[in-house]
Amino acid sequence: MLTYLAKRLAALLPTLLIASFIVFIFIHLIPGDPIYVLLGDQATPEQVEALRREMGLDQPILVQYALWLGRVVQGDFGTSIFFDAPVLSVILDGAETSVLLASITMVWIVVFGVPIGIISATRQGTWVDQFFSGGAMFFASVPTFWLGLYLILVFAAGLGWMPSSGYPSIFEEGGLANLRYLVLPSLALAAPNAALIVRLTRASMLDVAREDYVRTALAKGISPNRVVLKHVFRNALLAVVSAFGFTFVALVSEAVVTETVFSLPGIGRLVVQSILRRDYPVIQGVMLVIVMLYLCINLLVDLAYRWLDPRVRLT
Amino acid sequence: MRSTLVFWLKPFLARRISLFGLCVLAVIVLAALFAPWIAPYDPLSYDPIARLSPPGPEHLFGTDHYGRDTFSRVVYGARLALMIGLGVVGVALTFGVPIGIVSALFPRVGLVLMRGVDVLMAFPALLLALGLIVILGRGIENAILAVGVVYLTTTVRIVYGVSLKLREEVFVEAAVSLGAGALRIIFRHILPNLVSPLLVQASFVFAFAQLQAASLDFLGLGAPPEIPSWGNALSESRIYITRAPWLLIFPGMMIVLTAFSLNLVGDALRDRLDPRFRDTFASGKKG
Amino acid sequence: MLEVRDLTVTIGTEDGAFEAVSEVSLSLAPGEILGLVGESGCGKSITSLAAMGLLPPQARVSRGGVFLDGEEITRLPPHRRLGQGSGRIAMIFQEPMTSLNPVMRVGEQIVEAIRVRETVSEREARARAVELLDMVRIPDPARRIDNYPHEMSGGMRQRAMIAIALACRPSVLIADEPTTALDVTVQTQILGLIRDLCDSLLVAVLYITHDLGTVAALADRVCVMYRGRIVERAPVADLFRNPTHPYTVGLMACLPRIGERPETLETIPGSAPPLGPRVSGCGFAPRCERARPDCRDDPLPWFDTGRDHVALCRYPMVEREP
Repeated sequence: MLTYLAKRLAALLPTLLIASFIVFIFIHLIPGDPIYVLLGDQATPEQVEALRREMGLDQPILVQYALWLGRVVQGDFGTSIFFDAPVLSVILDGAETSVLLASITMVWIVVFGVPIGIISATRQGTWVDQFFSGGAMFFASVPTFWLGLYLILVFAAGLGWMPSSGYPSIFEEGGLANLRYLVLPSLALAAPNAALIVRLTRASMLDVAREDYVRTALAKGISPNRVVLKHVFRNALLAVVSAFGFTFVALVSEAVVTETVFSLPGIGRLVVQSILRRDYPVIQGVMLVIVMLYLCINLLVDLAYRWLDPRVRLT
Repeated sequence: MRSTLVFWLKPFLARRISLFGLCVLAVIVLAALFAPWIAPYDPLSYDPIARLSPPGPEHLFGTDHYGRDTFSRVVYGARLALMIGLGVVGVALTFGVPIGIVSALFPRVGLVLMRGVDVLMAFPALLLALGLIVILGRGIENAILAVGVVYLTTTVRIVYGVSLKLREEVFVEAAVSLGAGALRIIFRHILPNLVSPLLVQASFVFAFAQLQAASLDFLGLGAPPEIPSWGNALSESRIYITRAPWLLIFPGMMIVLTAFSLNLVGDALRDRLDPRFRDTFASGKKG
Repeated sequence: MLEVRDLTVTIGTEDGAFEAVSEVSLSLAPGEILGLVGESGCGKSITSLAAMGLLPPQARVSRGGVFLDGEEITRLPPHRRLGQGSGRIAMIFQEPMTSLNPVMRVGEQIVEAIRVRETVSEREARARAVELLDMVRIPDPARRIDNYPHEMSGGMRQRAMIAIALACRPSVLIADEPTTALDVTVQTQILGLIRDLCDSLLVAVLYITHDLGTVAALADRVCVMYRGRIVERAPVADLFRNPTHPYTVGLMACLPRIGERPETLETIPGSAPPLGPRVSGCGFAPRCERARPDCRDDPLPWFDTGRDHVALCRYPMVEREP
């Protein structure tokens, strides 16, 4: 197990290097002098000179990259032009909102997506299946922000059940009750992703249902419902689990929009605002954090897969 | 020829919902082509007196905060939607197909290229598009390019997968042993077999491109604000959502309908082309 | 005990509904092995799935039925058959590699089969699972019980499949080409195992195969199928001594004989037709050298040799050709 983990981590290294290089080069691709890209227009000559030395701009690009990587490893992601604060702390300020939003959304996705997929598959071709499959395709076609706006219109502005925007930290006044600020955003964010999980669960359930061992299980005299849960679902779960890395990426993507619609102080909105403020060091930092998170999640998905599938476990 | 037509139409005739998708797409294409004749007003002309008027005989879908006719803007929006869809599919195919084929035929190059594609896939779609917009600047062409690059990755994956399988198939090996050149193999054996999976992929990419482009517009980083795209319409009207909800219903519904129809059509095509799905389809209908 | 009477199975396809099995009748006695022989697509697997109650959704029994100890079970899926008398049907399938659930230990899969019908504790069921593995001659069963299917060889998986089938204490065992996917030496072992189990447990076995050689070695009686119909039924020795239906004769001519070095391998002209609309008269007539115009007329007569040996043919081969 440990050797496997070590091997997997070693395999991640090249991907991590290439990805971080892309993130690094991003600053240099933005039109203009990278120094001013990183410092903004109001930089003093002293600041410019200091940064020029720090980045090693007179050196070859790979050396610059190595210098940058060295700083990143030590937790120095640069300085935000807008906040005039370290990028890492700016990102961490938004982390609570984004992590909670993503977690609650994941709960919705699992709670709604997987069971509806199973029901749809077991009732293949009936009106129940058509209703759920059609619904899943509909929600996969709805722009998140549009759904979010209507959730606000109905449940916040209309019925007044939920707050319409913002999110005070759970560590401030209100405590855990502040999570209600995240209910509507997480639902809007969950809808398209849960829809994809419904479709995926359904498809892989139907795939597995054609397998010979399902017929064996039925031949034993086990009731079809039990076969679905014990034999079909356990195998179909493999495909669903391996899709969770992808789901995470899709989630982050749409969180950018959702956080903007609901004015949540998270990392997604930070990206959009930083683009509008030309606060490039922050954008670069967020990209790096997200790519690293993605690779970590993929690693976790891999481990879960190994745990679920004995065929992989022992090789 | 007739049998080919029957082959393609069958899944649409068998499932009325797919036919619905096809019809919606036809309407959108017609709206885009004949926008100047269909739209009763100039989508850009202001009418301060008729600001935020609700849907009625005068203005079918109402007007926005500048008094612009929403119906006309929605009709012209179809042009943008088609342009973005075709553009993104175009970018994804023009770059995706050669990269995928070359990677499959030349494993050494492929190793490098596919690793690059893997890395790109680690970036969330919208974030990658936003990054590219930051580099390229705002604008319709750049939005198309940025979203196109995002879906390039999935296209390369599909082309690579199919080509790799074909390369190992007997007939391609036979062609190689007979001394066929790489180009001949690509054009005679690989490209024809790519048509069907790419057709399915194109309809899904077309659908997702609508959503991504709308998101960019909404964030104010897509098409310039004066362009009557559906995403811009939503972006500008969001503050009027309580006072004039119709401003959001119609353009939003258009985005949903377009993406939904494309997904339906893509599903129907896949059922027709993927023998595995075809089996379920047949048994589901008859069983 | 197991009786199939006039079984007709209709399959719906994109081009319409066709009979895959027409008026098939057969019966099995305890301790007997009945071989069901035919080319692929002749309807032998569909017959066995119908007997098992596991027809795919496109297929349905349109006439006739399946009876176990006199009770009709035609439309009962396996889990509804639990209370049906003492008789039980179990089945082993063609593909041992894919017929076991890859994410469950073999032991769990046997225990599951035991506990479907018997209320026993987990420990008792496990002990019986070890016994069953021992019975199908898997070495070191107490250890093997915790293996996953992928940790076993093909032959061992097929033995495990047989153990699962025996777990419900069946009176009838249906074996659908259980050795096709295995090495020749393993094939012989599995065939020996089936024969022994049949003799010691007095199970009735319906053995489905395309291989006449296997039938000769294993079966007591044989039914030959062609295009969804049984065309000849006989005790195994008499069938090989006096094949009567031209199709059976053709099949036998295709068997290479040991010691003879044939100039060419014999074949039956033409090929078995795919599933399609039913033709009148004899299905084999288009490929038959002896066919005459009236072979296309219904109904075809059963020719009885008087030795418990019948053939569905108007012009049977009564004497051996020179």
